[in-house]
Amino acid sequence: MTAADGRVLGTTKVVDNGSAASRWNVVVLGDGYREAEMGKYAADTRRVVDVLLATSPYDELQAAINVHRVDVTSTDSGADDPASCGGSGAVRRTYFDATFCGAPGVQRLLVVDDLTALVVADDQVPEWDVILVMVNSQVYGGSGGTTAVFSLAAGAEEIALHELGHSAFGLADEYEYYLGCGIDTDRNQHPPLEPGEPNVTVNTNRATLKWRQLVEPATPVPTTTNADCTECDPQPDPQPAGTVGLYEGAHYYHCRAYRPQFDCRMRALGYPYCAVCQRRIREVLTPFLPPVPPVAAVSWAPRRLDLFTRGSDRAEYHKWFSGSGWGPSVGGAWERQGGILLNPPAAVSWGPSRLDVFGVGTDQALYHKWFANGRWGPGLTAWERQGGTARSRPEVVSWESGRLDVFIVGNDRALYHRWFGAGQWGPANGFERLGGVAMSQPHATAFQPRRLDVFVVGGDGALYRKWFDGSGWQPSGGFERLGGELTGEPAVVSWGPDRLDAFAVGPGREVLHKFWDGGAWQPSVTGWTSLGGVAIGSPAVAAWAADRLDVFHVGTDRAVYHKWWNGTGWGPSATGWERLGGIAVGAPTAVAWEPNRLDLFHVGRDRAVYHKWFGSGAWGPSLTGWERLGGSVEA
Amino acid sequence: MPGSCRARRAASWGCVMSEAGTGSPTGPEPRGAVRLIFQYEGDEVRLVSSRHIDKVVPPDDEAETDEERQGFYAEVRGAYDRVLRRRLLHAPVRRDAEVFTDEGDRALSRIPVERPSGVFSLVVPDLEEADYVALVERREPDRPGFAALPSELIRVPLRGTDPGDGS
Repeated sequence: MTAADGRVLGTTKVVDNGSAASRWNVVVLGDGYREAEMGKYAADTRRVVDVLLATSPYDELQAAINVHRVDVTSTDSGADDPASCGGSGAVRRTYFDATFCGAPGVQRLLVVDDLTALVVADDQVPEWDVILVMVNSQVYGGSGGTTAVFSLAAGAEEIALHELGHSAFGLADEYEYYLGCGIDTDRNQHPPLEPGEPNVTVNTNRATLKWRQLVEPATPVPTTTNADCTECDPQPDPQPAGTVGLYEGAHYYHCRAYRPQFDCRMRALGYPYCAVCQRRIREVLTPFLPPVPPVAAVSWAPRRLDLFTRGSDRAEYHKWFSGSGWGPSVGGAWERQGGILLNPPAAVSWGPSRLDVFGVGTDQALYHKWFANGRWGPGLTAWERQGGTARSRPEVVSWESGRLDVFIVGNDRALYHRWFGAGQWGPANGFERLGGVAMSQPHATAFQPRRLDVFVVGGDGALYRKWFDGSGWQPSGGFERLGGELTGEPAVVSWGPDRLDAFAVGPGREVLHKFWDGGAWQPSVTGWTSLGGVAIGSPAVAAWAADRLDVFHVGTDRAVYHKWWNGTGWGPSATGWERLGGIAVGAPTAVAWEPNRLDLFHVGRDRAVYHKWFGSGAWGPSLTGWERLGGSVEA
Repeated sequence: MPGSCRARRAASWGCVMSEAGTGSPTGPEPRGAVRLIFQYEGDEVRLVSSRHIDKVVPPDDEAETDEERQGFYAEVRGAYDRVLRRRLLHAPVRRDAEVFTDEGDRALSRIPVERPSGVFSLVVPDLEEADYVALVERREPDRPGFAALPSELIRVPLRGTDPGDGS
C-alpha cells in the first residue's frame, strides 16, 4: 500500500476566487516530497500555478479558477527511475508511488497510482475538477489520464497543460502520427467518421466546418493537403502564423483528418493552444466565472423596451425595441452613450418617451443622463455629475411623473438617498444618509406616490428594509430586520398598493420568498418560504398584473429557470421550475409591459445579451431558445 | 414586436440565433451534481463510488449532432432512455499512453498499452428525472456508409446511489 509511505497533512487554497461549489477547482498533489520539503513543495506549486494562470486563455479566466494545494508527505524524496529504461535505478517510497518507465522502454512516461490520487483529491476537495500530480524529480517526464502527472524538469509543466486539454476540455491530439513520423505504417488515412472532439475534423466543407466562424474568407479550405499520405506532411506553414484554417494531418493520421492551426499545444508542446482549443476552454470555464450583473431593462409603454449595460470598454450602451424592431440598427449593434462606469447602470422611466439612467464613475461619484423631448441630455455621450461616493451600483425608482429617487451604498456601507422632484434635486447639499450596514446593492420599489421601500442585505446575511411613508423614513433610526441567510442580491416587486414580494437565494441555494400583505409579513417578519430550485446568483421577478408573479433564476447548469404565481398557486408546482434554456453567466432581468407579456434577458457566455419573451401564451423564440441581441457586457 | 422577429428577420440578419448549448434537451433543473468514480480492466468498467456534491457542472455538449460522431460520451438518461444531458469525454478508458520528450521539437507520440487498466471520474448533473448514466463509445462502423456503432460500456442507476443526499 503506497499510502503507507507518507501521509496527508491538509489542504491550502492557494488561489481563492470563491466557493468551491461555484468555481473550477484545480487540485495539486505533490509526490516524492519529504515532510522537511513541504516549503519547497509550496514554492514549486506556486511556480506551476503562476505558469498555469499566465497561459492563455486561463489568464483571462482567472476569476473562474480556484487552486487547492494538498500537502502530502512521502517517506523518500523523488521517484522510482528503473534502470531497465535507462534510468538511475533509484527506488523511492512515495505516497502516490511515482515511477518513471510507466511502459516498457519508455523512461519519460512518469506515472502514479491514479486511484490513490483520486481518493485523496476527493477526500480533500470533493468539488475538484482536475488533478495535477507534481513529482519531486528533475528528470523530465509525465503522463495523462485521470490525473496530469509531471516532474519538475524545465518545461515539464507543459505536459500538464497538454493533458488538461484532454481531461478537462475533451480536446483531441492534433498530431498526425501515432508511434511517430516515419514509424507508422497504418496511419495513412483517417476513417471517415467525424471525431466528437471540437479541434479535429474529417469535414472539408467550409460551410459546415466545426470552427467555420474562426476561418477568414480569404483562407483556403483545406489550407494544406498532404501530397504523400504514407508519411507526415513535411511542408511548412504556407499561411501567416496563427491562421485558422484546415490543415491536413491530425488525430493520429497523415491524411483525411484536419486540425485548425499549423501549430498548437495539442500537437506539440511549447506552443500556445490554438484558437479553436482556446474557444473550447472558454466555453467550459465561463460558467464558473462570478455572475455578471444583470442588464437594466425598462419599458415605458406596451411594445417598448430599453436596455442599458456596461460594455467591455466600461462605457454605457443602449439598445431599444420600438415596436417594429431593435435599434439602433440591425446586426446586434448597441448605441454607445459614453462614460467610464465602475459598475453597470440603473435606469427608470417616469412616463412615455422619458428615461433616466444613472451610473457610478471612476471617481465613485453618481452620474446621470436622461432622454426627453426626443434627445439625450446632457448629450448622447455626456453625463451630469451628481456627486456622492458610491461603492455599489445605483438603484432608481419613480413614484410618479417628474419624480426620481436614487439610492447608493457609500464607502461606510451606509445607505444614501437623493431625489428629484418639483424640478430640482434634493437634498441641496448632496445625499441624505439613511444609515445601516449594507452588504448588497440597494433594491427599491414605489407602490404608490410618496411611498418608497428600500431593501439591503445586512452583515448577518439577513434582509433589511427601510420605508418612506410620505412624511418620514421608518422605522425611525434603523432598519426592519426581515431574516434569512441570503447568498446574493434580493429581488423585490410590488403588484399593487401596500403589497410587496421579496425573493432571494438561501444558504442551500434554494429560492426564498416572503411577502407583505398590507398588514404583516408572511410567513412571518423574519421567516421565508422555500420555492425550491438550486440557484446561482440572484433571482429576478416581474409582475404583469395584480396577484401575478413570475420569478426567474439561473441554475447550476447555467440555464434560466422560471416559476409563476397565478393567484391561486405556484406553477409548475410548489417547488418545481420550468427550464427555459440558455447558458447565463449573470442574473436574469425580467420586464412586463402589459398583462400576459414578459421579456426576459440574460448575459450569455459570449458576453452578448440574450432575449426571450412570453406572449400569446407561449415562449418565443421557443421554450428553450433565445434571441441574440449582441453586445459585449463587462462583468 | 419581438415575438414576430424570427419570421421576419432571421434570414436577413440572424435575429434569432441559438445560444451555444441550447441544443441540449429540455429537462429538469439539476440539484447539484453526482460524482462517479470508475475502475476498468480492458473494456470491463465497474463503479467504485458515487456521491452527491454541491457543484456547478460544466456545460453540456450539443446533443443534436453527436449521434454520428465518434468518441466517448457520458449520457444522463431519463424515462424511455431519453438523453437529458450529454458530455464528450476524451478516452476515459485508455488503450494507449502518451509519451513526452524534452528533446528536439518536443513531439508527442502514443504507444499501445497491452493491458489497459485504470480509473476515471465523471461529474454529471443530479436531475430529478434522470434514471441512469450511460458511458457510451461511438466507434467507426463496420461498413462504410453505416452509422457509428454505439457501445455502452456501463450503465449506472442514479436513483438510490447516494442515500446521504438530502437536496
